[in-house]
Amino acid sequence: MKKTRLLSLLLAVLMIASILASCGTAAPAASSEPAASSAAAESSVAAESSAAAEPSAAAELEPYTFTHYFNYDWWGLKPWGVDATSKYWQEKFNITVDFQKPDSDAAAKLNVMISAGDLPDSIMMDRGVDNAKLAELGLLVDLAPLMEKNPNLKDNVAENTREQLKLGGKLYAIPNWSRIGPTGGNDSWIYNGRLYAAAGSPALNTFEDLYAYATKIKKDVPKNNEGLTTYPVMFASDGTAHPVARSFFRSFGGVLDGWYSLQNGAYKLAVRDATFKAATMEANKWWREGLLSETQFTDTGDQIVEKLVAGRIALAYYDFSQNENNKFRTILKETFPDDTYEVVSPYPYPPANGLTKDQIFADIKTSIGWNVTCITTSAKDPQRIYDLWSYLLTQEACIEQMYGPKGNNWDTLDDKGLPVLKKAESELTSEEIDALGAWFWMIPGQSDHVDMTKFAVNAAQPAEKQNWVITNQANVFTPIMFMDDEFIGIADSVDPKSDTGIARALVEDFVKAEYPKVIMAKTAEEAEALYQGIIDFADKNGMEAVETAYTEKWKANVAVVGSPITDRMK
Amino acid sequence: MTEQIMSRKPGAPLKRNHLQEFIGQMDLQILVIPSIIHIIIFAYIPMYGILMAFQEFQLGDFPGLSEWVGFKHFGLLFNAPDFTRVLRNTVVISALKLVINFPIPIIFAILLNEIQGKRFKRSVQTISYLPHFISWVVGATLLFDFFAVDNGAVNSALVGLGFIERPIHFFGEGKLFWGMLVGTDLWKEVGWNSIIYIAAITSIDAEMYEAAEIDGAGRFAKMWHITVATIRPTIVLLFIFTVGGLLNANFDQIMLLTNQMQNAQLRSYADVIDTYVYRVGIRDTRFSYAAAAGLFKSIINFGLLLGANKVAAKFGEEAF
Repeated sequence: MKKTRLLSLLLAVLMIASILASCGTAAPAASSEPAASSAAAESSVAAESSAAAEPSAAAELEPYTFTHYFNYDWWGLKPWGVDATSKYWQEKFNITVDFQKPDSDAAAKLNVMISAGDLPDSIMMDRGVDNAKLAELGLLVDLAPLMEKNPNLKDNVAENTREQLKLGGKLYAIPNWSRIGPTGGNDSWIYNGRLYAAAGSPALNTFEDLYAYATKIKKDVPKNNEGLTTYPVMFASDGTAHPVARSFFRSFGGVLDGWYSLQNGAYKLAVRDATFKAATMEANKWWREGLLSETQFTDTGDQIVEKLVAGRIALAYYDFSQNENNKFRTILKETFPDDTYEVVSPYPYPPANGLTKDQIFADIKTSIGWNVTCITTSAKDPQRIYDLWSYLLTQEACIEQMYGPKGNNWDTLDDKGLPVLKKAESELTSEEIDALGAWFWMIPGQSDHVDMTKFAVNAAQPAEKQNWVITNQANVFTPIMFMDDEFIGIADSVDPKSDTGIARALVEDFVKAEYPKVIMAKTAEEAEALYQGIIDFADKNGMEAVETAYTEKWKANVAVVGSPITDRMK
Repeated sequence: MTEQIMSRKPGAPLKRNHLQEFIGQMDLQILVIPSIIHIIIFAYIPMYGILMAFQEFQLGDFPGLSEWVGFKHFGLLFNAPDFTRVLRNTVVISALKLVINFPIPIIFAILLNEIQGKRFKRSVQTISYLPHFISWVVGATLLFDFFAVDNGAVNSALVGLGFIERPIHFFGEGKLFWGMLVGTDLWKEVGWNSIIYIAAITSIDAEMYEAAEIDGAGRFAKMWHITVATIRPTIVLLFIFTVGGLLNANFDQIMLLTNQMQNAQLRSYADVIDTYVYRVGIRDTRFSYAAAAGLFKSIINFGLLLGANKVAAKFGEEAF
């Protein structure tokens, strides 16, 4: 008896101990780093604090460790200094980076970090409200003095882009994927090779041709060679009908920015646009004739990919560059060597209603890129962090980011400054790519360098080793792309917690939920009524205030960029 | 001391016996402490976040130290155009689940008890509670496949048997969604929820059935007057718990069956208070407003809990 009591007492103490232990802070994640370097890092910290006035000069070659936080719960992390590329930079800069990210709920975690004053040394996050808040609270480091000592940011990011990135007159952000010229390509009409041949390879010059082709598939090619039902037309899946809206509106000559468009010098909800309405009614007609799949608006991205790789979708409006990630075309070609997906030609966005291809707007690229990296006031030596991240914007770093450092897959640069690859990219196994660290460390990346280099390296390969996505981006899409900054930061001009912001969230939700219903309406009259319902809802719930604020911001942007895109029609 | 002992009534325990008892059971008390700490940390400390509902929380504020705005967010909530629809969905889904999914495990347990073959009974029991261990993430994917328009098992069967001509788009019709929610919830939880009833039934004294047989009770009379009557306290207790959590219309299930509320056709039938709080609070970063909506739900739940307890007391059973 006594023995069991003693045992249970022990057990209880153990349980308490384990609870207390789990409440404590986790051990720092730097355990992978060699002990010697962490000891050295500590001594460097001591050295820095004694020479606080001029930290970077004193610590130039001292080892330095800092934390970098990705404000995205989906971000994939890799340890620093394991693959060839990051190891090379680790030695080059004598820097160790401790990467972190939220496990879930990035917004809440960021909020806690700000409230508790426990910020990482450097952070990558979206531009917008949260980023502006950090700047407003004085938690970010002004990059101007750092840029004085190291011109990388100045040299690789255009001045007007840096101006646009400024918050309250100060530059805090190193942009990710900023650019000077428009390159690349994502959305495109693509067709399936076997189904296209089965339908008699009709011309696909105009939007009407697409309609005729889809109708033919519906009528004459109901099943593919494997006996599976075919889908005349499918769109990328994003849970809303946005891909349908933007593809139809595009072929009708419109420019869609989110759910907004330009109407007589104002930035308004697209549903108020007569052309947008005509495009929508056309989409409804396609639906009523059974050209769109019943599951179009409920399928997940994976379900669409499944249909693509089975060769069941005759015509798709899809981000063809996804082949680099989900391999929809590569897998299809492996399964059915005679099958393929190809970009609709001669023009990937066939014009409707007698428009010419010069009246159709292809994708718009912004100089400002995607997101930003900022250095916080928690950083002991901002200059060292800045030196590393701004280096990644250079052409030299760009080659290392894509092909690994010198001495691995390349030893020499040709006369154009491009690496002479020992092994074509398409021949590298995923283990080799992983060991090189290729294509992983674009944190940040610079679009012009990356795109121009990858286009040139790809073009230097023999035709059969060329990459389908890159070849199309270089030859088909880059020449028709637009460069335009007039839509930047428009959504940020309205605070989501203000009355206007609340109205916006309400109306945008309504548009997203109702717009698919317009397309799926059983009759044209029903579609019209539902469409009018969206406009009425917007009017009733104070959308005008949002549109006024947006138009104001848009006009300010236009003043910076020169002229609205609609005036720059080729 | 002597006086105390003198004044105590015969048979009443010594006062210091409480302390003595506590010390004597120290090992047992220590066993409880981790749970108490757990409850304090995860259930009581977060409660102060309720303050947020009466304040205007801004990013960078320390939670609970923002500007006070009184009942502003509740006013906004009750006047929001979405609110009626959200409340309707919450009440309807919860009520359907209460009316249908609460009694079925009881019936299932009783029927299972009537099965003679032990092996068969065991298999049925195991098969029925297996889906409980499938998380909604996986469960939703399975269900999407079962109910797919394109070669889904259910649609293929229904078309094959000639019940319908065209496949039904189960997850694309708002009107079907409530039925899908109740049905899938039942599929997942019926076996698991019946375990407690089965355990309660197992403890019924077999002599009672024998006695009833002698008195001439038939099978249904035995089921009603002995099985159901004996497990009534269990039923009432679980009823109180269920009602207390009535407005928790199962966030996981709804989020996953609607593709994280991306499925626009379902939203007008699927948006409940929890998903609304998530959508508005996290996405639009209106934390205070979301806290107000969450608090509103908790208050209703609390009221329902007390109400159910009152009702149960009338029937002679009570949780507290």
